[in-house]
Amino acid sequence: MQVREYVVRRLLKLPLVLLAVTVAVFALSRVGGSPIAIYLEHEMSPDEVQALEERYGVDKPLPMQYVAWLGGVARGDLGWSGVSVAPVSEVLPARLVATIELATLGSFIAIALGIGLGTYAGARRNRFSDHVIRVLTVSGASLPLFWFALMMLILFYLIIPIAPLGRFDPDVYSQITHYTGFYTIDSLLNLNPSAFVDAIVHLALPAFVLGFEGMAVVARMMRSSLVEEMGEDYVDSARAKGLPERRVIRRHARRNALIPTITVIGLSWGVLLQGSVVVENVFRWPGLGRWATEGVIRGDRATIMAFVLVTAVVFLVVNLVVDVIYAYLDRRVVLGTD
Amino acid sequence: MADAAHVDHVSPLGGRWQSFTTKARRIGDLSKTALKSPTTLAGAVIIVILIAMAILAPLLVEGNRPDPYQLPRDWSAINMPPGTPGHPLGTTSEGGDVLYGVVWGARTSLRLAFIVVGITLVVGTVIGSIAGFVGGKWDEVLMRVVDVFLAVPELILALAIAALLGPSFRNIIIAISILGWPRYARIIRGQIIHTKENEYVDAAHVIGDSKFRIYLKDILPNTITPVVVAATLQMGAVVLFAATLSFLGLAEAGIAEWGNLVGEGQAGIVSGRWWVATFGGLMVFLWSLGFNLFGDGVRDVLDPRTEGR
Amino acid sequence: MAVIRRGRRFASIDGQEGERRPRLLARRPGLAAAVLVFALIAQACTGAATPEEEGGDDGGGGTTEVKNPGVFVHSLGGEPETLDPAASTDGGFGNRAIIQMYDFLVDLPPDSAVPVPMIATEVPTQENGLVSDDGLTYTFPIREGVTFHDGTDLTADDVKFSWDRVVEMDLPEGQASRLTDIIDETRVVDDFTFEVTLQQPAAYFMTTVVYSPPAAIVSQDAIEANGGVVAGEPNEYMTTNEAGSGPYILEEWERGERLHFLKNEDYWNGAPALDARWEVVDDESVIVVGMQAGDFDLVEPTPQYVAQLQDSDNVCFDESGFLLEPLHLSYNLNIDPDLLPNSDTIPPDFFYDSRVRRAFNLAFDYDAMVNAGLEGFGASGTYLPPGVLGWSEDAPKYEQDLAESERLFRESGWWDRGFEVSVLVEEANPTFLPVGLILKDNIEAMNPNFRVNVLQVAETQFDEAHGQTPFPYAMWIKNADPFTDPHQFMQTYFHPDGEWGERLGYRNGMEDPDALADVIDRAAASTDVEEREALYGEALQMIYDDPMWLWAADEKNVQIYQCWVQDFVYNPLWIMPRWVFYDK
Repeated sequence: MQVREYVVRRLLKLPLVLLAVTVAVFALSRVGGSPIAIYLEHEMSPDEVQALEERYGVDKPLPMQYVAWLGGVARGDLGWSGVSVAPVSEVLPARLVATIELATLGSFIAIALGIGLGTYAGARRNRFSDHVIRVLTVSGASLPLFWFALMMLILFYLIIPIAPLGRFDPDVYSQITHYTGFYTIDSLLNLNPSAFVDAIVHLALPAFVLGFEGMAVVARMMRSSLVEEMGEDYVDSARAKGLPERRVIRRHARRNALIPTITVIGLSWGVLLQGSVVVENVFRWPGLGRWATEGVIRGDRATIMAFVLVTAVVFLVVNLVVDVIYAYLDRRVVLGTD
Repeated sequence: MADAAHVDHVSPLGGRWQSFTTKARRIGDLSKTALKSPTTLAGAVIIVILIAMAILAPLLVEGNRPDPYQLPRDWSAINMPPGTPGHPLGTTSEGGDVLYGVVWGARTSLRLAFIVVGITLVVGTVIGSIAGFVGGKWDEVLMRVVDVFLAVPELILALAIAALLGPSFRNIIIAISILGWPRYARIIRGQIIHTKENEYVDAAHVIGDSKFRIYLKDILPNTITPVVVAATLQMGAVVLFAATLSFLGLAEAGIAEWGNLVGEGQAGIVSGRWWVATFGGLMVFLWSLGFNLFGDGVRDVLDPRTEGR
Repeated sequence: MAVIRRGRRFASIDGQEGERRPRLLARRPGLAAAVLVFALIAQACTGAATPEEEGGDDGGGGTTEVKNPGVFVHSLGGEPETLDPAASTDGGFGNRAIIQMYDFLVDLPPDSAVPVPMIATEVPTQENGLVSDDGLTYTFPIREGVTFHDGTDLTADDVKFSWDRVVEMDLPEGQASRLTDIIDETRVVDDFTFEVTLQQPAAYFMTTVVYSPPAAIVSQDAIEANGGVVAGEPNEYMTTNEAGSGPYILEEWERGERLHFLKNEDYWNGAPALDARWEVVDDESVIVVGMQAGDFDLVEPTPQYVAQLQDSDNVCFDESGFLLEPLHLSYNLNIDPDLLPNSDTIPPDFFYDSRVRRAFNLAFDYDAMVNAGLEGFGASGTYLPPGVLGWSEDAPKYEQDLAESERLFRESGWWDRGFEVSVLVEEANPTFLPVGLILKDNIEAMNPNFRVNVLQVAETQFDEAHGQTPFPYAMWIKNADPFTDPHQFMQTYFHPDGEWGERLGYRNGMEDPDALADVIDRAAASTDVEEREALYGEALQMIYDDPMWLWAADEKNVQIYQCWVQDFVYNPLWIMPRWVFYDK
């Protein structure tokens, strides 16, 4: 009952926050210069500029512009991207998909390696391997992502040339039909193993770099909660019963330790989202982050706005989902205590 | 163990019922304890070295004229590798000296860190105090504003702000400051609300102390510890954040800043020119590492109940 | 945000449902690592194969296996903003697609600047009588038997329709002015004869107007069936489709990724050898890597990356000329002091004095710009780009002379006073930025009282400022728009009453503006090549003596292609290499 209320409350708040975000984004786009700057050329006479302003409706009062813009967004019209020289709505899906593909594999790595390393370290508390892993995780948090990415690039592209740049080999990529836009999925749907390998091979290094920081965060949390769990009574009784240590950890302690870890996993999504901006820049990944940075550098309003909007929505939704999951788990945990 | 907000939190540095010398001695003891941990000590050493480099920069490498925060450029010596005479760490694609960038970049970072932490601390404290102290509607509104700030990932907001303001290091400072105050506001507000419930505050109230005096003498001193921890960690995080933004291209070309160096060095990697990006990034890493290690250690000592086993 | 609650736990060991089992790879982190390593090794094996196959090539289709046989893969840093000749912007990517898909009345051959017949069977000149004696009326005999891609025949009506349409639509972003500035009237004499009357005689008409994207010949039938002509509004159909007769037919446009073109088997001049694919790759590093791997047949990266490809065996270079887009720095004689940045200390008449302008020009290190800014792929130049009529090796050009620069600053009184001034430049532009930084470094090194601030702004902000009159800064850095005829350069950049002449207020500071105006006007009216050349020589000297610009460098036009491409030819006067000529 309580949980349902909580979920409903959160769901109700979401559209309000979203609306606030749209207002903020719109305000950002209108401050500081003409919003149709990308269409202007220096040879245009004032009349021609006027004609363009009328065509794009920027001569109307601001609230009307906001409504028109919002209506356009609802219909899928997000303006013209100067960076891509195309309507935003045409290029956004492809770039979003590329980022999602990268972030998914990255979070996969972060979770898998994070839980694995955290468990490993927690079980061997204060022994050498624990210290090593602790140093690794602290470094992970201090490591500038852009520098780590570049070092990995130098290592695996220059020194040991096995990593490629970009998302695909144009030859291989143009041979398959793109049903979903996800290179991995499409190559499987096409029953084309070399395309799949191409996809994975291009994903490998950027996803690892992206997931590294998340991995450090998850590992840290996993380790400390596991250590805490290991100190609980039931673990002693299990040991007394003669169960093998590994089983004790795997089956029981780890499960409980996972609970707080899940929250951290959800929080690390935000880290990943931001990280993708940097990682995409370094590995020349044609995703949202790189598209947006170029939009920022070139002053392309529509691109920036679309980026902020999309990221805010994704971030809010993910946070909501994590909180809901946690609320459910927490409730069960509460019930289970006595 | 319940979570932090409900714990009977007595700051090691205490409230008014401690004399000044006791406080001073306690700070000394705490510092010694903190520095006993090897990792914290390592952090402190790194910090000292970097800050020394920043302060002594003009003595280590002669300042560029007219603007010492611009890399000195030698257009006849572009893309030189480390070890070139006159350029021990090599040059950028504009002939900028990397060593200069490393040393004076420390100075840039120190300035940045002080300015940003200073601004956000003050602004955050003021807003957090209003929210916690005055409470009621003000509290609601201000905390909603804080929520909005936390709704969108930092980097993305910073990008949007920088896009608005234009590419310059000054604007990066502004953007980070805008994003940084909510942290302190929350801390201060939390402490105020908590301390309000504390006994000796009631006692003070009984004997008729004005609200403001209570604020100054009881509430504020108790907020010092989490604020100190947060500020220490923020010194590291801010430089890292600024470096990321300049790496992405949001600062002017040619400034003596680590992130900018990395950004300028990135293009050369494909053709084997590793030095600009490596040295620039290494400095950011060291700075961040130093403050993280030290900050973690300080937190362990001052705030033992929160994370950090 | 959820608060972490510690200390609550699941119950006893005897099993509780609920907690979902961690995923496969979470249970076995070793497995995850193994997958990663396997993937990287797989790449090493597949990736290693391709580059190792390159052998030495000499362009004659050597031992390398040709990738993408039958298709010419051209990698470009952008995609067209529109495919409509009536809407394509000056300098945009749309023009590049248009020259592949459409025909024009005349053409520029690969090896000369003299027009040859294309859709017209003869190039009108005074000698063959197709140009009237007063030089105003041009008669074009139209080729018979040319069909558009949709099967309809090409007649003089289509030519008139094409040109009139551009003028009628008059889109602000388009290049209608190219036609309206000089053309008075178009006329269809009969099905295969087309006539044009000009407002005044113009020797540049053929190369600048007839052979230019807005003059592309479109199919009247196709357009009337798809939206027709509406004044002031873009034609949606034509934005993403084409109605041409040229050697290439648009097959598919994957927005943001690539454009597919099929060769026109029925092309009147013979079908091209290859189909074509335009790959949109906005990333220089990826272009370099792709070139090394043989994925692209032709690329055009910036000078910094050109240098990186020099070591690749399979890659050939064509340095046939220079980009007709000289890098320049402007001087504003029409300054509004309220608009300048607060840090600027210069008065509005700062650049009136030609000594100041010459002093700036002499302070600039041109060699550094070519060697460092362009990594060797360029040259410092005279005020007309190399290859354009009127350019000559001996024409006067500026070189760095710090002593003379100092003398001029002293004489004009600024040496002791000092100044601080800002230059506007596009952010993150690897060729424009060095111009500003080199000028800054040189001027500031001369005198501690001199300060030059290089202001970097986002591209759109730059364009916005650039379009304002008066221009809100004292100086800017950009490259010139590409023109094929010297008159366009002269009129746009140097004529005191030309576009920039007016906006930047030349008459405020030029010593003898009328003399220069006279020379330029006479050269425009003349149809005698030698006379024009002599006049432009005079103009160049005048411009040198009283400069309104700092001409930083001319970028080399380097075409980089795979050595397996046969018959690579290129005319720098083309907007870009034309696929119809290539085979592999």
